[in-house]
Amino acid sequence: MSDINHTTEGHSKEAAHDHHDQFTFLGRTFPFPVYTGVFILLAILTIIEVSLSQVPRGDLGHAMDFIGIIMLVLAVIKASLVVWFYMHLNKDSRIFLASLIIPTLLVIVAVLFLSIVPAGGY
Amino acid sequence: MSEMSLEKAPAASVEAAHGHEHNPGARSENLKFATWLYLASEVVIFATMIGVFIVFRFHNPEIVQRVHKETNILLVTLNTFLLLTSSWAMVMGLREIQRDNRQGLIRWFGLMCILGTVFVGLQYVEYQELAHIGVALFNQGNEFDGFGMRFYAPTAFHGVHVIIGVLWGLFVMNNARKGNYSSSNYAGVEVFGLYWHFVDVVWIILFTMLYLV
Amino acid sequence: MASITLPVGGGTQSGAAEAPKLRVSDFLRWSVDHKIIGVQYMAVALFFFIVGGTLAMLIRWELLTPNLDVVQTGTQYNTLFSVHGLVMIFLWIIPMMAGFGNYLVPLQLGAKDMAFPWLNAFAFWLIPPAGILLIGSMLVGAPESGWTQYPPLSTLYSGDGQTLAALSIHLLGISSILGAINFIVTIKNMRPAGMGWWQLPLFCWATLATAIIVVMATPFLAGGLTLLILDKIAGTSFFDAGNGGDPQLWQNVFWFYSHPAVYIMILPGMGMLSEVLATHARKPVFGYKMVAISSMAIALVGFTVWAHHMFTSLTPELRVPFMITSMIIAVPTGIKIFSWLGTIWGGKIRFTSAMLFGLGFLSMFVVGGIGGVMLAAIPFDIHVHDTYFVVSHLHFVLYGGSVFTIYAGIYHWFPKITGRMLDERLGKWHFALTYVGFFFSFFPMNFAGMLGMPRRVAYYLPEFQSVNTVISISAFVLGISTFVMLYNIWISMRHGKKAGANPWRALTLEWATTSPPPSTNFIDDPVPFHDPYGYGDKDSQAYLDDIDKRFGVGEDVPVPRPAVQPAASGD
Ligand code: HEM
Ligand SMILES: [Cu+2]
Repeated sequence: MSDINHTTEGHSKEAAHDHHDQFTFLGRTFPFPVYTGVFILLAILTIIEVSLSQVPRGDLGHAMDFIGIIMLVLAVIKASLVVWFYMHLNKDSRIFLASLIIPTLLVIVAVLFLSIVPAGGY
Repeated sequence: MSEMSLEKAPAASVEAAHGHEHNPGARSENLKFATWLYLASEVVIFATMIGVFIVFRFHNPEIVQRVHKETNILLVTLNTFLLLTSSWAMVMGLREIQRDNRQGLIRWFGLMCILGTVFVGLQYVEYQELAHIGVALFNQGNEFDGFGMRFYAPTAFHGVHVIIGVLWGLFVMNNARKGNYSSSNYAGVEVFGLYWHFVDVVWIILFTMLYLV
Repeated sequence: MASITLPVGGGTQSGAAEAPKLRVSDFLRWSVDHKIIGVQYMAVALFFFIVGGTLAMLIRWELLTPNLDVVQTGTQYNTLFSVHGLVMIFLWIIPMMAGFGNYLVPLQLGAKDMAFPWLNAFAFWLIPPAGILLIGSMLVGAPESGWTQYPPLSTLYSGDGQTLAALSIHLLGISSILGAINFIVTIKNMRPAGMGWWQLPLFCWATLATAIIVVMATPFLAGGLTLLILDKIAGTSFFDAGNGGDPQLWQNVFWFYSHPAVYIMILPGMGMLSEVLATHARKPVFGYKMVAISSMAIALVGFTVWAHHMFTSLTPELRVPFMITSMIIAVPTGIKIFSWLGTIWGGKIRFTSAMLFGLGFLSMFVVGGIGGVMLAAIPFDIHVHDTYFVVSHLHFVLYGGSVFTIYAGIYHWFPKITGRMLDERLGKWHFALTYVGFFFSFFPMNFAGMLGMPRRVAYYLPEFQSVNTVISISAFVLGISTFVMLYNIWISMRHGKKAGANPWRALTLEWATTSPPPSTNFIDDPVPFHDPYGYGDKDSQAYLDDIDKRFGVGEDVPVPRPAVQPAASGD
């Protein structure tokens, strides 16, 4: 959170520069172009996903199979990468995270409900 | 205290009292928080639209599979890459303005807007291909029964968001050209970034959900 | 408290403050001042209250006899109750609550304005066009599906008016989402120094909880309405069972929104009620923290009960879980009820009109809540679902609940908004007529419902005639009572007694400035009292006296003032 609004001279251009080119993990900082790194990762994950989708899957008797689940997990990872690094949730206030997570959980439950509960049940 | 009465207060001072936080840091925090809350509501509205597809996919996997077999994944994959790249261009542009480089911002954002526009164009091409094989907004009795509307509604809704994003991006570029942003004042860029990345995230989910799974 | 907090920092010239004059033209144009916007919301809402009320009178007139007499066709009757419901909910209660929120939240926070004044004005100006669309919808193939807009009634059996109505609700939804975002940011980030979360006035707490619900629930309706509009105009069939759609999908999505939405309609009122009861009973709110937390609990649990509206269409195994959650949600509501009772218990109650409506709310809302819990019991609901019993329940909670708190709020804050008191004698007439008219309009509906009279019908069996006559006559009394209030507002705006800054001697910050407040709300940054409901606290005397000294008192103020009239007893 520290260097997002550097409204005072104290935070220099250097700080802004660092913000992208360093990666902090477990309290240690490594020189690494985070934005570009994330982009490459996203690209790789997408390629994996698309290749998986070409694997012949037979008839999907019911809802989901193993490959499908893997692809969904990959999608969630991709989305989290964007949210975490590009949308700066790694640095910003936790309440922003909350305002994303709470409605997301809500709609996951809602959509699961809609999928599982048989239509016109009575 | 005459300056307190509504009639007599000079318009400028009233505007100043109601229009602007004096502390730009606080203002940018407020703006970002508001944007996140707006995105929270977008999560829900997108979920309703995509949810309709998911329910369909859950109960009629064979119809979805049939459409997948008849369509080419390459076009949408290309489209996905366009959006991912534009998201990357977006953060790179933000990084430039954080370094006080206005030209850099404008260049990256230009790339972003072009990618967004091409995305929309390719989506149109894709719609035409689908229509060609017989996936209409409403079809009954053919082999794609009920797929069309549940597919077109969320993707078109997303497409509208991309179009709005491109327009907003052009607006930000114009602001940058006029010199409205600097390394100490870029909340406007950041807030637009949140929106654009969110549209990208929605596409990431849509792509997997609608085209791959 | 070692030192006494005084409301306005560094004020040296006592009595210097002078309230600004309001001009009608200020309220007729775009303005970013939250006070003007607040009044704009309230005025528009009151207007639509009259529109909706007129429709209600027509409905009741029709139902005086078992046969059609006012309307010629069933379609016309369907239009009446559909538009009545939509107007009352989306154009009266919700905007009215938003109006109070806009006016009061920044003042209670000691702030100059909302976090985003422009957005605030924008959100308001979406309402008039939406209102026009909704009223206009009656003219073109009217909506006939009730406020719940269930397909296929809405998709196949209603005309283009349904599409317009859906568009209108869409706009209103956007408006309330924008407003809610503004409230959340304002309340979180703009509290003054000295006001922690636990010094936040309860109205702000309630508005915050409401705003959270709006942000997460209203988009469900927006999504559902988008699909509904597509069904109506683009030839899709999301909800049409005959064409591969699922009508129950609408029911689920609608109630995902609309059960939380009933709390959108009642929570701000509950917040106002805490303010009114504490102030007029001169006692601290009993269990302040529990009240604040229960607002949040209601917001949360409110998302888990929607299917109690679908007991007769839901798959049977799921009924019991929703029965349980529905009964659980009565718990935080009960906590609030006990807090209000505890607050007025042993207080020095002043039976002002505001207080009367507060007490009226307590009695009527409890009746409505008990009706709700009865409905949540599945075996009972199966029998009375879609009967007048439900109509009774929803009017007890929405009229006896929300509207009574709105009335209490009007009597309580009118002096702040206009600088003049409402006439108390007329206020008491208003209360008496409303209370009696209301009770006898809606309580007999319970009997009609339990005997099996369905809701939303224009024809009914002759044996229900007597009870319907009672209902209709009481409803006309209720209708007239509204005009007593409107007349009171009209007359008091110009001829009411001068209110002074703090006629009720209340401790929250909106009273620590002139009535009406200046354009920037406060002269200096106000200092909140350490407990917003610290009535009876020794220091509160000094704090309130300081407000009186600084801003002067009104004529013939209803509350004894030790500093001004030494003979009267203190608080
Ligand atoms: C004690 C808590 C409550 C419970 C357990 C409860 C339960 C219920 C149930 C089970 C129904 C469905 C009846 C049916 O259609 O068969 C219902 C309807 C309704 N409730 Fe409540 N309720 C509660 C409080 C409230 C509150 C506070 C409000 C509004 C401020 C409210 C507004 C409504 C409305 C508007 C309907 C009618 C919906 C329609 O048009 O079908 N309820 N309630
Ligand atoms: Cu409910």
